[in-house]
Amino acid sequence: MKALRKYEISITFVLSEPICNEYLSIGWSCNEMSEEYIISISDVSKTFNHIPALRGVNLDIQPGIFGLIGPNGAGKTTLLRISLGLIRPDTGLVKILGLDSQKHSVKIREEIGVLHEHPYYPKNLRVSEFLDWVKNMRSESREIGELLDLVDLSGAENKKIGALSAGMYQRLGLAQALCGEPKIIFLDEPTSNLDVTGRDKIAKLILQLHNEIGVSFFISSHILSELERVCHSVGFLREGVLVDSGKTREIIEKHTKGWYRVLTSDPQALLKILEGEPMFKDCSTSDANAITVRIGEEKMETIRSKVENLVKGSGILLYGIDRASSLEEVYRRVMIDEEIQ
Amino acid sequence: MKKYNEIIQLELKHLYRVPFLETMIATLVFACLIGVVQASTRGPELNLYSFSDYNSTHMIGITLEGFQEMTISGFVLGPTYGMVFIVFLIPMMIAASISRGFENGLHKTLLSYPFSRKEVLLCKIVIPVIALALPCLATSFVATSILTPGYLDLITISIFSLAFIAVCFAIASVSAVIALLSKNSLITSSIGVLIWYAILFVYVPPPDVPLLYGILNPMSTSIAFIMDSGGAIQLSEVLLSLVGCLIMAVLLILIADRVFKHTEI
Amino acid sequence: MRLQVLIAGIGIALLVSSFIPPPGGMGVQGSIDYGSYMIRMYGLRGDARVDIELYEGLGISFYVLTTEDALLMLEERSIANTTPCFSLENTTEYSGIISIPSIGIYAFVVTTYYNTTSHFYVGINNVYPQMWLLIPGVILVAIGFILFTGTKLWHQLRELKTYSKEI
Repeated sequence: MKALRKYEISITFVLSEPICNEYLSIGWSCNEMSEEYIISISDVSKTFNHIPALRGVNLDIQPGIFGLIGPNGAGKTTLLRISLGLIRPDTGLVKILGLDSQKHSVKIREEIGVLHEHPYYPKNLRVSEFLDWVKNMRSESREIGELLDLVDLSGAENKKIGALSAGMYQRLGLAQALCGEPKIIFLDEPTSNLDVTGRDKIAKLILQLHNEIGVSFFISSHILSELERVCHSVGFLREGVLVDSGKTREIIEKHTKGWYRVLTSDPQALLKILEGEPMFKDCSTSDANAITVRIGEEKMETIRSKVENLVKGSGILLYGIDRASSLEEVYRRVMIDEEIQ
Repeated sequence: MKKYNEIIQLELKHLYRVPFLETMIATLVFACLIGVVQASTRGPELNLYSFSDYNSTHMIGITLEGFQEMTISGFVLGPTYGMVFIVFLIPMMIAASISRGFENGLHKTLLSYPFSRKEVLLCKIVIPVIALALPCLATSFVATSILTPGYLDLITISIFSLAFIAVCFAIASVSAVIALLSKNSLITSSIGVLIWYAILFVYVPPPDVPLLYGILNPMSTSIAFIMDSGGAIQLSEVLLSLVGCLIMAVLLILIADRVFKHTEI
Repeated sequence: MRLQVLIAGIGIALLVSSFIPPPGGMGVQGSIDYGSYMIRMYGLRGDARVDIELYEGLGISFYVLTTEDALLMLEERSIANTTPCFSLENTTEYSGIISIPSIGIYAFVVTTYYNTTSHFYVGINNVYPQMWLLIPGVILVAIGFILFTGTKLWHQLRELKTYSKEI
């Protein structure tokens, strides 16, 4: 893994060497991974009416796309609001681009873009009017047409904000966050009210923006599939405590090592069969069509043949076996383990 | 300055959009005009009795004084009529601007851009005052100049204009504090309106005007001074009430700034 | 856009105020003897309706003077050398509209030439709508409307031109 630097912003990619070389050929220089953190959260705690929302959160985020994962009420939005200076922490410090988020909030906001969870934009303004207003505030920025093209809102310049659909409204939010070529963009549940197509578009856009412009993202979300697609690193927050954080693939590897998903026509029946076998530990039905099992250090072929032998003659159909290596699986492990602890 | 300009631009496009601001100004122009026209119906009243000694110079003097009084009344009555609407409009606009910003999340959006809370708050307090007070004063000045025969001296214009603007600022700053504490537009507008209707429409005749009343209602003391009811109110009392009101408004704005700084958005 | 709406708004304010009488009335009433004068001065900008009623006595005389004539009258304590805009002598009752030549302050003078005390009432009211407000109001509304429509049309034409260029 190498760090690539462009326009003074470090961008971290998890790449294989051949792909890295391809980037080298288009004029990007390669350095060792930078240790500088764009966001540094130190021992942050916050309580609302005697209910702890955050408890001693420590998190350092390098340039790239970071995803903060947690269930509703975990404290994700609270952490985001503290980082933006909208609320004060009871204890601790948040630094963004090296600046204290409470003392230098205005200066930080000159370098960042924000898309809140339920953003409010003046509904009687037209899209172009509003973006023009945002553009005027920033020291350097693209043309409105270019911004709208970037977020797939071309043709909506003269529409009133109040007349936009949910997806267009969300993309407008992204467009206003992009004004001024920010170094970091904070996104709080950017796709929560979008359909699958909409979410897919936003995810592609985030990756495209990061790859083309080099802007870092801090995404707070509970939609794990898209975070897995776009995030270089993730953090898990539960009941105000940061349970784990790190590079996405490392986290997945760490928490799902030895876990497998067996796709089957009858998970309940298969579960009964496998539960009795010493090789298959911690069996559970993960969904309507699969079970997850923890197995020790075994090769895939061994596991497959073992399972096939066990289900022979039972009428249970097997559709496949794969590593249960997804953020969803990590989420289950991390949150359940945390609960147990 | 540029940042203030940006916030003002947004407020004008969003809250004070066409035709709201224009309708409010037109309403105030109407109210002030009625006030000035009414003043012009209060001219000198002279009774020349057959049995009394007649002094023409004295009579002419009274007449000219009457004209002057008509002019000053016009200049004063216009904004006073306008105040009936301003006491309602300013708290409502502050409620819509500040309280509603908490309710709909506009503050969250605004404070995601490089504006300080002080800049945002100052703009939201100053805009309704300037937008509503200046048309009142301008209308009164112009209408009085056209419709009444006397002249307006600088002291009259300065004292009354300052008193009027000071009261508008006081209304705005009290409403802002209520808005920041309650974060509810209904509470802000209703309490803001009721407080000031109570203060401004209680009349304490000179000369025994308590200092607190003078500070809360410098318009009353300045009108009493300008209309010169037997020299009952001195210039020093007027200046004290003016300065007191301005200081009160500034202190309230500072309190509002402090409250907003610590408000969680 | 804002200017056009503001102009139209102010025009509407003038229009509405042309129909609204200001609070308080104008007029003069009381008792008057031979050789006395009762003078009231009001600002008038249009025609005025005058209603005169004599409760007791033989008759009163009513005059409307401009400011200059009023000051002359006060100087000489007599109507003799003045040129009233309107005069009505030895009347017991009257109801009608008097024409006011221009915007200004006018003196309404009541006296009696009879040697008895007269008790009377003279009511003076503006004639509504007040043309000095109505006409500017209509003009401003028209200007605002024309500017507003003109601007909209101009924008639409510009959009049409851009659209046809693209085609």
